[in-house]
Amino acid sequence: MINEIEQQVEKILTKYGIKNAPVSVKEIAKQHDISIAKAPSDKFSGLLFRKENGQAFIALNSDESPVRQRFTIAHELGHYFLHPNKSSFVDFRDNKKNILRGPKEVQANRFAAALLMPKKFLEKDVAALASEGLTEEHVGFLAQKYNVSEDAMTFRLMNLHLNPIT
Amino acid sequence: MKIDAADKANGELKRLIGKRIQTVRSRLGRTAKWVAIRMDIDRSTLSQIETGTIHINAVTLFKLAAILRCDIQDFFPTVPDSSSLTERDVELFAQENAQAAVFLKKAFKPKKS
Repeated sequence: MINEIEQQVEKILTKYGIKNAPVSVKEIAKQHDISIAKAPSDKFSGLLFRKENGQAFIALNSDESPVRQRFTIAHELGHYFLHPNKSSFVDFRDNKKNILRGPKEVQANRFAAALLMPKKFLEKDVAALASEGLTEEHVGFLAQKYNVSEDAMTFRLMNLHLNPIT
Repeated sequence: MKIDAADKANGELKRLIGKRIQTVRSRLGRTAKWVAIRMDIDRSTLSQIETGTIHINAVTLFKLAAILRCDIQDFFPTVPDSSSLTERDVELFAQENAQAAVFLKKAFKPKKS
């Protein structure tokens, strides 16, 4: 499944001619007529709702940081592309709750990471940056470049076996 | 139940398109007879189209626009924009997850359906 997710993300990047970070997740949503709106919420980071006619809506928590909101869009896009047979997905702020709910949430997180930090882009950047191993500063720099949190970047680098910090 | 709703929506759309055809035709001062002759259809068929009794297909619609020299968009209501989440949609979702439906509603402020 992980490889399938990576492949699907690559297809999407190719389709929309996305060659550089940061990946515009809003643009991808727009291309699929997915509308995005925000509201504050104590409970939810976001949700994806699909009407019977296929029209999709992503709600985001306006209280969360832009980087977090961006991750949520990518996560909901994951549900949109990976799980076409279910009409709605709800994502709690408490991530433990999400992961306990089964593989679909984990898959959507994988998708989000792959979309926001595409493997090929990162491999290239890491090779150019740090032939002798990544430092914390490098991770910070990459997180900024990809417009993701440093935690998300660290996980992604580890998952891709790209020189964890020494 | 779902199919009933879809049928109803289709019927309403059919009537709406028919009504618009009639409005455009009258605005341009063309009689039903004048249009029917040029369309090579019966006047009764045109009347059925205008009352939304029968479906008009894309080719006929195109011909009609050509004959009336109007914009084909004149025959259609505005395509709902992507923010057209209705209260009904939210109600349906609420049956699944009431709290999340409140969040969805706050974000999209749906119009009455």
